[in-house]
Amino acid sequence: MKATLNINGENIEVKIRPDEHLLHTLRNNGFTEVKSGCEEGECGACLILLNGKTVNSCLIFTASILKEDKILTVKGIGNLHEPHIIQEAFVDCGAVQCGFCTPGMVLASYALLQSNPNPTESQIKKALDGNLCRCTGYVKIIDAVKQAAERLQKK
Amino acid sequence: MTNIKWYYPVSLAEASSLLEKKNIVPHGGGTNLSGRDLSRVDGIICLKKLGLDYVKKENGMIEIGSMTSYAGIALGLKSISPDNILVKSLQNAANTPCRNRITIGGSISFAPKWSDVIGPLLALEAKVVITGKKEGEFPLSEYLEQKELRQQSLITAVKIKNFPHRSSHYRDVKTKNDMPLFTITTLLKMDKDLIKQAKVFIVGTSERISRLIELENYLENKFRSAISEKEIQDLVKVSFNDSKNANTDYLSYKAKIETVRSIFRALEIS
Repeated sequence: MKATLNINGENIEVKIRPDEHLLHTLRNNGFTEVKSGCEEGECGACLILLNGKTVNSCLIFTASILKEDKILTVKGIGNLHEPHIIQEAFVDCGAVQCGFCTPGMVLASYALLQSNPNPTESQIKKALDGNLCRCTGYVKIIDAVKQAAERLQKK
Repeated sequence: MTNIKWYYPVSLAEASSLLEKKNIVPHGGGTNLSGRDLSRVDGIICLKKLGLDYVKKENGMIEIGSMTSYAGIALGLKSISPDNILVKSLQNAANTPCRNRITIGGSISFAPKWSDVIGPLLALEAKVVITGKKEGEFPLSEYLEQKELRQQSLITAVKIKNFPHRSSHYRDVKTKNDMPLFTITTLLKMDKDLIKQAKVFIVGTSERISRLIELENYLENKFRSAISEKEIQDLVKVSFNDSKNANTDYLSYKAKIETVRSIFRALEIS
C-alpha cells in the first residue's frame, strides 16, 4: 500500500506493507538517524516526535499515520552543519559516547524543553525515562539537558 | 506479504458496521497490537478520525474518550480532578513515549495482567460506553466478565464519577519501567479521619483481578487511628501463579506487606 508521510516538514510518498512498523519505513527511506534497538518500546533508540510528542516508532504501524500527522526525526531539528543548541550541548558536555541512543535522547530533551523551558533534574529524568544509554551513566546527558535549557533561555 | 486491509472510518456508525466483518480488530495506539501475531487478522480499523481523544467533566461525571492516551488523561485530569487516582497511576505507568501512545480504550480491551488502569477504574466504579453489536453503558466489571460485550464492539468512552477521595497505586516492579507483576489500588472516601468507603483491588493475582471485600469491610467506618497493620495483613488473602520472576509464596507475602503500605500511604500515615 502507499502512504504519504510528513517527515521533517516534507511530504514523502512511501510504499509500505500493511503490518510495517514506522521504524522500518523510516530507515528504509533514508532516515537512518532513527535507530533500531529493542523493537519493543523499552530503549527509545527509535524515538521520534509525532505531532510534537515522543513516541517509539517501533510500536507504530506506518498505516496508522495520517497525512496530517507530523513526524520529526533528530535531523529535523539540526544537523552536523547546523546543529541545534541541544545537540551542541550534548557534544560540549560529553553526553555522546557510542551515539546510538543520542538521536532519541536529543529528541526527548527537545520535547521536554518545548513544553518546559526550565525543567528540574527530576523532570529531566522523567522526560528521559524511555531512553536507555549503556555508555554514559546518564550524568552527562542530564548535564547536557540542563546546559541546553540555560542556553535556550539566553538565546 | 500480508493481506491486511486498513479502514479509516470517520463516524461511529461506519466503525460499527466494519466490526461486523470477520477477523477485524480495532486499532487504538497500537502498542499492544504491534507486537502480536497478525496472521489471522484480515482487517484493522484505525480509530484516529473518530474524535475520541478527550477528557471532559459533565454533570459530576468525568468522561474520557477511548483514544485518549495515558499522558493525555493524566494531563486532562490535572485541571479537573488533580487528586484522582488515575493521575497517580497513569503518570507512572510504562515510560514517557509509551504513555504518549497507550490509549485507555486499548488498555481496557486487552486488560493485561500488568495493567495499571484496570484497578483504579474498578475502584472508581467506571462505566464503559460501547458501540457495535452491543451498545450502551456498562460497568467495567461487567465488560471484563462478559465476553459477548467485548465481541464485535468498540469502546468509545469511559465514565467515572468525580468525587473527592484518597488513594494510592502500588506497582510491583524491579525497575521503574517494568510491567508490574501485580498492582494494588486503594481508594478511600473519607469524612475527616473516618473511612466512609474503601475499595482495594489487586490486579495480577491468579484470579487476574482480586477485590479484597473482607478488607474493605474491615476498613469501612473505622477511624484511621484504629487501623491495625496485623489485621490488614490477615485480610489480604490472594494467591499468584508461579512465574519465572517470583514464586507464589513470595508474591502473596509481598502483597500483604504492600497492601498495608498502600493503605497507610492513602491515609498519609507514616
